[in-house]
Amino acid sequence: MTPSADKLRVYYPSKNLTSDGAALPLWTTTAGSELTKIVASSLSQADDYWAGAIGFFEGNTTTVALQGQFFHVKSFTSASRTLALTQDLPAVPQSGDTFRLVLGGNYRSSTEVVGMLVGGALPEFKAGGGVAGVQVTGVTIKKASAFLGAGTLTVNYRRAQQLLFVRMGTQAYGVGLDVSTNITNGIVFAADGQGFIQVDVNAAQLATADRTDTWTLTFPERTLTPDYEGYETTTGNGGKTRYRLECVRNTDTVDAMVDLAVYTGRPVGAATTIASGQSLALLAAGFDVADASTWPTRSFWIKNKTVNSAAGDCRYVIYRSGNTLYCLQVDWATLAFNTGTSQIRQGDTLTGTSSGATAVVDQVMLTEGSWGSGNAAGTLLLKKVVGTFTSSDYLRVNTTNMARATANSVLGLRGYTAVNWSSGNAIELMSDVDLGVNKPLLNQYENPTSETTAPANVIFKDASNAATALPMDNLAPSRLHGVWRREWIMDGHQSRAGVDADTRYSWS
Amino acid sequence: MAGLENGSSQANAFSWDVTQYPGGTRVFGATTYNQSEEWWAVYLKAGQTYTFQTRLPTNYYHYLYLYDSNGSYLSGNSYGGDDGGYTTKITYTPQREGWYTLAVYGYYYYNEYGPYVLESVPAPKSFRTFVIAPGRCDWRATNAIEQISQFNILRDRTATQSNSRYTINARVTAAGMARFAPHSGRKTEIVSRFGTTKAATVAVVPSQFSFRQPCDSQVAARFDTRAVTFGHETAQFDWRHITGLDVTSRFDMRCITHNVAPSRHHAFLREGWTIYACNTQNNQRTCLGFIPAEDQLRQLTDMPLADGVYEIEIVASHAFWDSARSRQRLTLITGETVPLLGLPAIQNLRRELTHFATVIRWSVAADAIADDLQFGVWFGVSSPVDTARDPDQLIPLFPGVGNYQTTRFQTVSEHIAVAVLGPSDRGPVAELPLPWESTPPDSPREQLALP
Repeated sequence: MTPSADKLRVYYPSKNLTSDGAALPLWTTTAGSELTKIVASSLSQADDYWAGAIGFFEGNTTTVALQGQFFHVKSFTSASRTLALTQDLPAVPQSGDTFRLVLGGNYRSSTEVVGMLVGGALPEFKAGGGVAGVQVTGVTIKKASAFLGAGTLTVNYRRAQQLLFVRMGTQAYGVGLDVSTNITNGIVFAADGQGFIQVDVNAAQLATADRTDTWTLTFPERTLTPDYEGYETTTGNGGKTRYRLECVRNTDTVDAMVDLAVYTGRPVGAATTIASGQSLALLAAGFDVADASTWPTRSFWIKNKTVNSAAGDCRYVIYRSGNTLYCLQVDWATLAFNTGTSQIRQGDTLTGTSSGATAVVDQVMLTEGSWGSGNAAGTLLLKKVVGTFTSSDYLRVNTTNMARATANSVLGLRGYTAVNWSSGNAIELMSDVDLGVNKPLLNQYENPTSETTAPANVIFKDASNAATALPMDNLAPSRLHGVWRREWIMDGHQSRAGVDADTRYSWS
Repeated sequence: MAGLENGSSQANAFSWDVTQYPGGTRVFGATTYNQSEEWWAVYLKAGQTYTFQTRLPTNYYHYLYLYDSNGSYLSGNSYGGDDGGYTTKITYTPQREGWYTLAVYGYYYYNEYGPYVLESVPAPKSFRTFVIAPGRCDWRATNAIEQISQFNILRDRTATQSNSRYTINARVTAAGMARFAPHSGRKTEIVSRFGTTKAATVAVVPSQFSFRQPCDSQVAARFDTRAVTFGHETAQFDWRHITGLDVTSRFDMRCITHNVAPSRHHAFLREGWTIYACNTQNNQRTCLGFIPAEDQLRQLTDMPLADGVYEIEIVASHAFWDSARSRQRLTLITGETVPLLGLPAIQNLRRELTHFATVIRWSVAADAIADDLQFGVWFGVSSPVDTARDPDQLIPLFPGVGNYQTTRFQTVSEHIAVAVLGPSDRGPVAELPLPWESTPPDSPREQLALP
């Protein structure tokens, strides 16, 4: 039987865990914290070990204003045991406040990624174990599936049938949950059989008549992907990429999830075409499309579905004026290399000795050999590229030849090969993040050293609808899989609120 | 097949249990004085030649008949089996795939009855899972149930038989099933592993089956659907949308169940200024760097620039489109020191457009100004501007005053040259291009600067 929607659970990983399903370590604040600074003497990792991490205060931490609050770590100073945060907390942490940190891959934790806000609160962090209703007594909502979406959730208890129902908006109620006895982690589906809430039921406290409660569901923010912070959007080094893992598990103990697939959200807007007489090269420029009236006004990605034999190409749109889109220059490239004798590192400024081309290294992806043996080979992801590296170019950092190019550098963004665009090309909005699947080996995921280091052996692509969803094969009962997300931040990336990077899973 | 499966009639024929004999080619039965005929339901493939025959532990006279699913007679035999004696044999090749029935007839009034082995080579197709282990049952309303195990019903009018692991929430008629979970009106027969959650469904002889919405299917195996579906004789099957289908096998339409991990966030912009240097000779623009708003000094130092004359532009973070750059520009001369020839140099020669007029401003070191000095201003369409001729404008200098300006109404692009003139000599010439376009700059109408 097809595992029902509640059987797929998504978990936070963390690089400091040592086994699958381990609890995220609980850290306790000590004196000296501020609105943008958390001091915890038990944090003993190296400087910036936690840079880029997301964290959250426990639902029962002593400072009420911090309960269930998420934060984003900008940097970590080992000597002072201090986490510098990107934004103000709602209150200054006091000694004894407790929190957990999430960063990287490695192992799945026991903590599930949170669902929807129910009445403005995250049930997962609510004191008392969840959100309790006023009318429908005896029922505690512990989780609201994000598939329910934002809107009004109605919880309905029918005394005569001893059934609990839910619905969204004006839809019909779904299948009832038998609440004639106490229930722990019961699942109540909406009419589509997909969205659900997870509840505990104390049968003795149920009302003696039919009862209904309504809740407003909203999407939580910064609980899986932190904000692009200002300091990340203008680095002067040509932008950056960030990588985060979410761990998924088929919790059904009997049946496999057949053809599991995943894709992510994208801005809302209808597809269009490049207007007559318009074109776009690889430089920063504007061009007109037929109709972009429903599109965001700035800071979004677009995909050309026509070029490269329909394989596509993409650009970052810095702003839109009517039907005119203004794009940033394509100054990222990939470059294959071999005979690597000295390690090329992220942030190095690379020069081609023959071509004179220059670039800053964003990622180094080794495919074979090693630097120590002088035969390292692989691919570089370059940014701030000026010129074209040519095949056989010696790749120099400062005055040292580090490796040799095996082909010309290829300009492109987010895995696409950049080409010129012309009128009539089909254009559509693109997801803000790319996805890559990572099936863990012996329950252990890839474990890059930092949030800006790409996980090895993971291939990313944009997957923004069911047709382009990333296949994850069949997921056997009780088994794990993983999805990495890559955020591609251009130098000069503009602000935008409410970026939808939800991951949407489907299976048979 | 539907029915009671007690072998008493064609409607209640036994299902062929492939587990009774290796390869599934034989089943075992016995005619008796009280029931001298036994019926067997077999599912046969089109074009496949089947040989049916009886084998007898004790010889007795009987007939073997074959009927189609409508009850029409197809073939019969009263002797001719491979074992000789009264054994019977039929060879038949179906023209269409489907259900057929075999009947073994004895003669009770001649005491011709007894155990027999019924053989089919090859074996008929198998669909069934047999579970007969009554026990553990929860009911909530009117139900009629036989031979069930682990059973929950929450609403009324249900009739089930020979089931195992069964959950029902509304009107259902079901027979011969294992692991069955419908949630509203259903009619099902001979089902194994079956799950539904919505409205009217008719399913006959499916195995491993999941429904979510109205469905009508028969003889399916391994089957998942989520929407309005109509199917017959299918195998290994996933559906999602409205589908009509007959006699298919191995069929996938992907995506049935959904789950979403929410991930919402914002993209912010750093407050500050980006500094550009524009070479006035070739208009090539270089980004010198970014000054964060939170910096105390708000300065960039040690910026390398090739020799030349540059306009320094300052772009605030929120002015995020090119044509909205600040019009306040600083002219910077880099390179070898220019001899002053005793007269002050022109500093920060710059241009501003105001009310369709070009306003040119410049500075000099105020403390170096003598009484008898003035500025010479020349205009020319190309660079360098001819400054050997008389100036187009003369502007007096005043001691202690360092900032000066002049206005020009342009119609074409041109260059301006400015120098300090003394009674008998001239200071270093500063020159600035004055591009002119009648086309207004493009700017977005719907931009919004977010914090």
